Amino acid sequence: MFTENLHRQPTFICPTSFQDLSVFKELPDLLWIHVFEQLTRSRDRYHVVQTCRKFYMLGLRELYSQLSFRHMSQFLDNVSFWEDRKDDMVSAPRSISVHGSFLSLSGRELFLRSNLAAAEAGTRAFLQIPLSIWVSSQNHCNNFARSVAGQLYRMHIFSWHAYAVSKYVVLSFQD
Amino acid sequence: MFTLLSEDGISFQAERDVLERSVLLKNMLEDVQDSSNSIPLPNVASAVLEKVLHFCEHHRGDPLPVPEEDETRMRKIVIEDWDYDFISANCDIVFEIIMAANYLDIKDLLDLGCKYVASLIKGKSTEQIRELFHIVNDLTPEEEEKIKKENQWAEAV
Repeated sequence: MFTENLHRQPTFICPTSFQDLSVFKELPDLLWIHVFEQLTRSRDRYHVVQTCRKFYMLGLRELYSQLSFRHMSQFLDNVSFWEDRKDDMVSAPRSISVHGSFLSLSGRELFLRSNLAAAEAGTRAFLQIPLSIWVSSQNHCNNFARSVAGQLYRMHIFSWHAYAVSKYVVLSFQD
Repeated sequence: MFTLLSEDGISFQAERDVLERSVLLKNMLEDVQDSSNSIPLPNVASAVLEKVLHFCEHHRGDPLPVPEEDETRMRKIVIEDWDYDFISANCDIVFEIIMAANYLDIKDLLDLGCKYVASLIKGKSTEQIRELFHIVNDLTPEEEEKIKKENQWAEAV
């Protein structure tokens, strides 16, 4: 069996390496989306959406199916993406990974407590992390990053409300 | 045995369990007992139909793929050696195979074709993807800059 996991993708060797792929212009939109769904790395989807207007429209939802912020700057640069959106992109993310160093100690405790409570009650937990905590956590970064050893918190979310433009980043967690 | 008629008028014979890999043909054959009439497939050329039937013959008896139950599960790509060789050997008509698999509704063949195309995109820069598919960039420099900035979180993942 030829097995690959999340971050690797099989490489096919094509005997006609100079094949003409211009015929793919005719590929229906739904099948392009299906192709993009097969990409396992966000970086590849990122390159796809920059290609042209059509690929941006078709690839965006797949790009946002797995969100990951490793640095505060990435998060802040992404805020404008969510401003004045008329589409239902908020329902696209199926998981979001936030670098542990984002959360201040109080934010982390809040997260853990909320998660535990949800596990006990068997219900969804909702957590509001004030943006100020996220931002100020940069100040805690050195100490905090050491304490969490740079690990990522992986959270599964039902819906993603990126109202970072107001005061809160609201994440709803799956129990 | 049933007879299929390709777009260019060539007949192919295959048994029911081979043809039932295709949801379209499975539904068509549901009420058919005898095989006296051939089934016309006006959207599939003989060169492609031959390969599609080859694929279906190899996979006859396999359990049909089911829709993924849990979308949040980590994506895993498993490709059998035979499928890998099949699509590599036919990569010059992969577009036609994808279109035929979509028309005939053969999920595992459609997935295989799309995985192949995805593998061509993998690891390429935006400019290289444009060259690959002969795409003209119709984004303004401002739009491109905005897309790049807002989504730079994805670059390192």
